[in-house]
Amino acid sequence: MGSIEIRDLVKDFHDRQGNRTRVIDGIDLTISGETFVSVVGPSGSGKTTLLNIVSGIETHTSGTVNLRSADDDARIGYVFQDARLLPWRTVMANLGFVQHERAGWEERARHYLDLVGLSHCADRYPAQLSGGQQQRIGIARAFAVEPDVLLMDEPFSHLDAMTSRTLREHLERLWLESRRTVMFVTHDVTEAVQLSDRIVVLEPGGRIHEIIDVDLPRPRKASDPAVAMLQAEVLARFEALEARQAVVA
Amino acid sequence: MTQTITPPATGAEQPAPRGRWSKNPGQPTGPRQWVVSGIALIVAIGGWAAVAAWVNDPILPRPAEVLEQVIQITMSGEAFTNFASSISKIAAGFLIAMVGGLVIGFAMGRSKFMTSYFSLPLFVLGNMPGLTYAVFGLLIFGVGAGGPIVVSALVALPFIAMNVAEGVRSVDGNLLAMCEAFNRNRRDVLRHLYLPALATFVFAGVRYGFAMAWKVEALTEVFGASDGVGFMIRKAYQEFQVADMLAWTTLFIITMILIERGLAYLETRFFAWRKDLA
Amino acid sequence: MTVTIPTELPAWQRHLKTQGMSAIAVTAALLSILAVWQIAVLVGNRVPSPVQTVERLVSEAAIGELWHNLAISMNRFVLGLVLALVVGAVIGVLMGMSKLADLAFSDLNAAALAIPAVIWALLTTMWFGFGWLTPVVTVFLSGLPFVIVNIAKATRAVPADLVLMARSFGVPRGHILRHIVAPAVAGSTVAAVRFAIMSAWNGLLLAEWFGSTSGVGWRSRYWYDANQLDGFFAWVLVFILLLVIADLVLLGPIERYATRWRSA
Repeated sequence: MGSIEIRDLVKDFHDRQGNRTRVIDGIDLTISGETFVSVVGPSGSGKTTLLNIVSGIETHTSGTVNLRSADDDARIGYVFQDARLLPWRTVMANLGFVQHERAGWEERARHYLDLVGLSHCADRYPAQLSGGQQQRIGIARAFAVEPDVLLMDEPFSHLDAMTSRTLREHLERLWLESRRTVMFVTHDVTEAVQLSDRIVVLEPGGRIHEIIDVDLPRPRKASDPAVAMLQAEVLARFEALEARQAVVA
Repeated sequence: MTQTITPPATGAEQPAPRGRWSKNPGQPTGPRQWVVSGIALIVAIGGWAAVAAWVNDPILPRPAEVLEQVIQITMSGEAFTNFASSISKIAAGFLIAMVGGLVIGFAMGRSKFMTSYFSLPLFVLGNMPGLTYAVFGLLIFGVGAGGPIVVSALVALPFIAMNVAEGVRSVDGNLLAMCEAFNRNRRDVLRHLYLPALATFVFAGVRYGFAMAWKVEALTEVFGASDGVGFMIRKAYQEFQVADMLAWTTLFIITMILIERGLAYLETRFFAWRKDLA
Repeated sequence: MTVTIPTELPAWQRHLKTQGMSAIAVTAALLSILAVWQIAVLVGNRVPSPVQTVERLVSEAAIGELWHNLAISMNRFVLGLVLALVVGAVIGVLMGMSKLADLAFSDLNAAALAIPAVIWALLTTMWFGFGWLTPVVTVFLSGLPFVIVNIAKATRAVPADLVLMARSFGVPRGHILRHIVAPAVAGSTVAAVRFAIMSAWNGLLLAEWFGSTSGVGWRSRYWYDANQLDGFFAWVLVFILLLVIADLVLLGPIERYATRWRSA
């Protein structure tokens, strides 16, 4: 199992006039072990930037980000908002691509394709699949690298409500089976409650507002009253945060 | 379904680029575009002037000399008469190509066999080197207007025919059924369904056929004609008047770009309902 | 900004190839072409018959003129074309990656696209005389603008989001180049080569016609000037055959291979 250690993280953007905008302002956060952590926040709270810095796609201004694993180098899996499959490779070859054809990749690819219910699509091209199916492939791809740290950036935001509900169930099943360290970014509080063990709420300006522990049994159902109650509570706190921001603005 | 068959196939079969290195360089905005592109043009002409000054021989005239010639040719009316002559030859050729293209295109649109049958001849017509067209034109029609007219017709024909065929195929089966459901007669179907569909496809064919035909037509005039732009270029070549030749070339480029932009403008203006044309 | 000169593989030609030219229809088409030719022989008094033409072609091959001139021309053609591809690729990549370069070059390139190859052939003949420079420079100049347009398009087609995806999974650079960049730019790159070949071939013939004493263009002019039209027709046959071979046998399959995932 891996861990993500974030210490005093600061990220500034500079526009052409040289004006500095601070999008992440001193975040301290440790995610380790078999936890599913969601990062939620209103738009402008820097949650996607945070994820990109953790993944190494973006650089940061100061502070440290450490990814650790049992062995030396932490392997990262990433699920994007869109599926981001190579259109010229079959589903199977797409799963192989990110594993650099590491030993046993085919077995792993088949296993996770099976878990998302798409083993019959292994030889198809992405263009032959629906959007929901493509995103399931994207999720299977991230799990198939057997990452120490799994990063997800609003993976269901482009899908319709029905499809994303099914996919959340798929995701939870995959997670229960593999127990990766997950950092999941979303703007959807109810989604965060349903999926995660902890919810990190960011506030505009890029600071941690609060951290909520979700102590509900798994697998969770959206229709479960306990889930629904917690969703309502967290949503209320989130709305209060947004309202406060609106007053400040 | 309604994808025009045109050479710069930027339409459906290109995968939409989902991200870019630079942000949308296709549509630059504001006056900066003109400044940059103007500076580039000035630099290019400056480079030409420098080389010309270094060579210092009428074999490579200075930009100013060419400009002088351009003005002289334009003022004397020579430019107008010769371009008018060339353009009317192309127009005549396009009329022929239109008739032939409609017939062949309809046949191809309705029958698979016809599509296969015409594919090879149209491929050869569309790809034959300009030289062969020009010499055939001269051989068969001599130095009259016939050669350039027939050559432009032959060059444009494949584009128009293929576009008509695609237009016929594009007429939506659902719309046809709708017309039948509402009991529209054949004339209405022709007028409201086939005509608008075909018009856009034919126009696209004309536009791209034109870009091809222009050069081959001029080439044919270089080989054998008694007037026209190509003939003037040939004359300048034979008299070793490089400045004259470059002046005609400049006018040729300007006219060609103007006409093409005019056609593009007309297309977006009249066929705005086809959003994929853009 | 963009002049509407065809700079990509005409969709209708791709269409033709994929639509399965049934053997019967193609045979019928070939027979029809021969019939039209034969009619032209009867009507026009100077047109040589197919048999005469093929006979002349055989005799050209027998005396060695066919292969000799083909070799000379191919030499010039490949030299000019490779130059155009290299220079065009550099400028095209620059235009695809930098907006400034795109603004600077696109109007100039639009003008260059509008210049007929015959202008270059005549100019180079006057500038360089009857040497090897005339055809090579003409080939280079008539191919270049097509390479630039299509390579710029190819560069813009590099999917930045897929590259980011691969980087976040830690895929090595070589893999990214091979599996993401190369397939994305393949289509437009093949188009660049194809249009460069077509346009440069036309330029080569013209340059050799006006300003050379060897090569296929010169040889066809030789027969034309001698008023031996069967010789000229024999060479036209060679031009067309080369074209069909280049497109159907070489570029077509390459293009289909490069874009096979699209139709899937």
